[in-house]
Amino acid sequence: MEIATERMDGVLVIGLKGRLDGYAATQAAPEIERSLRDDDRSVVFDLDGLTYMSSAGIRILLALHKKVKARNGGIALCNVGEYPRNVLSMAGFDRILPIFSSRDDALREVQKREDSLSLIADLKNPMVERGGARFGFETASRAPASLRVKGSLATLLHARIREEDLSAERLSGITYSLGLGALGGGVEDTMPFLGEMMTLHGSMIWLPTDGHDTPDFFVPAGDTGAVRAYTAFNLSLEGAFNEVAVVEATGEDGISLDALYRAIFALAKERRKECRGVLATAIWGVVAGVQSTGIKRSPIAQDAPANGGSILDPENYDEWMDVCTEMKYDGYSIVTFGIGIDLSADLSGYDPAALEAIDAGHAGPSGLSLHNHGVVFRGVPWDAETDLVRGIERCLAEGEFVDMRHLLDTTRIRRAKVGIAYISAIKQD
Amino acid sequence: MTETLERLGVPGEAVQALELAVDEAVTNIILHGYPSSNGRIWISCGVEGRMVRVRIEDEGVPFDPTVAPEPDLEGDADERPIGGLGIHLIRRMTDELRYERRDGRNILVLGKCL
Repeated sequence: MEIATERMDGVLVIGLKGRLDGYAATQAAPEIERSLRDDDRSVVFDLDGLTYMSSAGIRILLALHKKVKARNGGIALCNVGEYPRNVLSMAGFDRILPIFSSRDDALREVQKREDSLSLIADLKNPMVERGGARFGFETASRAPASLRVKGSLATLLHARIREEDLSAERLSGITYSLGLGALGGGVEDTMPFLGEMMTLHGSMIWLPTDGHDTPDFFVPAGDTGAVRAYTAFNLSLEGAFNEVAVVEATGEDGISLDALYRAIFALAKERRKECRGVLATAIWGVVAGVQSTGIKRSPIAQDAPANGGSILDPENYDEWMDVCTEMKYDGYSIVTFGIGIDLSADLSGYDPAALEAIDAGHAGPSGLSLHNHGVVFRGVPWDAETDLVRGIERCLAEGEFVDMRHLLDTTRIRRAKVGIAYISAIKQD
Repeated sequence: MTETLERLGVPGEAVQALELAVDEAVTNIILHGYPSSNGRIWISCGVEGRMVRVRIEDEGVPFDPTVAPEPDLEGDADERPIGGLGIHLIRRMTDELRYERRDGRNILVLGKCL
């Protein structure tokens, strides 16, 4: 049994050759599972050279068909030889699964469906193209949104955190936040394990600095208020998103986080007078690749770099930071929360001390300073009809939790719903 | 098994049919018959007059496929159950299907007219 997966115009094509019996099916199923992206709606099976198939093969086809049908898609078969065609017909599946004589015919058919689905979406919500992606906007809350910051990024980055900088947060009260913290019984307990964290709808996801590089995903059962996270730095959104952008990258490689923020800032200049240079966003989407960092050690004062510099300084960087420049998690779902600061904007309207507390001073080449954390999930079907909050909740409740990282600006997103809050004020605790 | 059947002079079409039927029956035993991955399955075959028969024996949990209900072959793909297909294919591929439980063994005989 040979299995070959490839993509043609974005559509997954799975070639199965040889004998698809019970044993081969156990080999093929995980391979198919791996190649399926969370936003795939259509799959073509090319059975050219498949000489034998048992009910185990039908089960594979049927399981995938059910999965993508739930996403308004379907599978198509092509180059079906006599033997598998007879088995399909005896089982009554030749009437259910569309069979085409060539791969081109099958691809043309599924492309037609893809096109009509995106046309319907377009009619509902006209899109503009900017920076490698198409954007459509849905208005959300009109109320101004603000950021609340506790601690400062400078203290964190210079590893100057002391016990008195830690305080407890009640998770259930926070919808969106990112920061540095730990779960535990008290300040003393948590100091050695402070790691990057985020809060999403009352759940906490963090990367303990215990040397295992394994994130924890904590969902409090019921709102008892008993679970507390100890944080040294925390940035949370107060208020709701002002609009939600529906974003579709024009290319298969997706759009970088940096380009995404740039486009949102550029579009805001034309459309949103209230944008004053700081945005908070939450993204639910499907990634083309995640590049990330993770802090390796708890940045507490007793371990501060001897040269008094930042843990991001070149001479300290490797000792403190895990960097993953490999593009990981193509086709996985992601939920992010983060901020973007347009350093070219007039930021004088914000409280200077509060602004300094959230700005790492590491602007990218495009003049934006970004700080985003993301949680990676697997197996959450993408559905452009589902709203942002429902999508995030679905990831938290049904997704297979994979990873939590500080995202590099080069992380690439293929499609997403982006909640945007045009920050009116930054408040410091 | 296919080689043996061919050596016995069984025509290709009947060999193919029995191959699928035996595959389905054995897969069932492997998946549901034995609680662990250890277990034996005995397969023998022979031609008697105008019938070719394959006999499959196992010591797994008692299971009589001849009385298993027919799966629903109508209806939409979403509603179709994924199980039961193997036994349906065994029935379609054979002309004779006999089962007995003897001495702690499941004995299934699949027959095909020549």
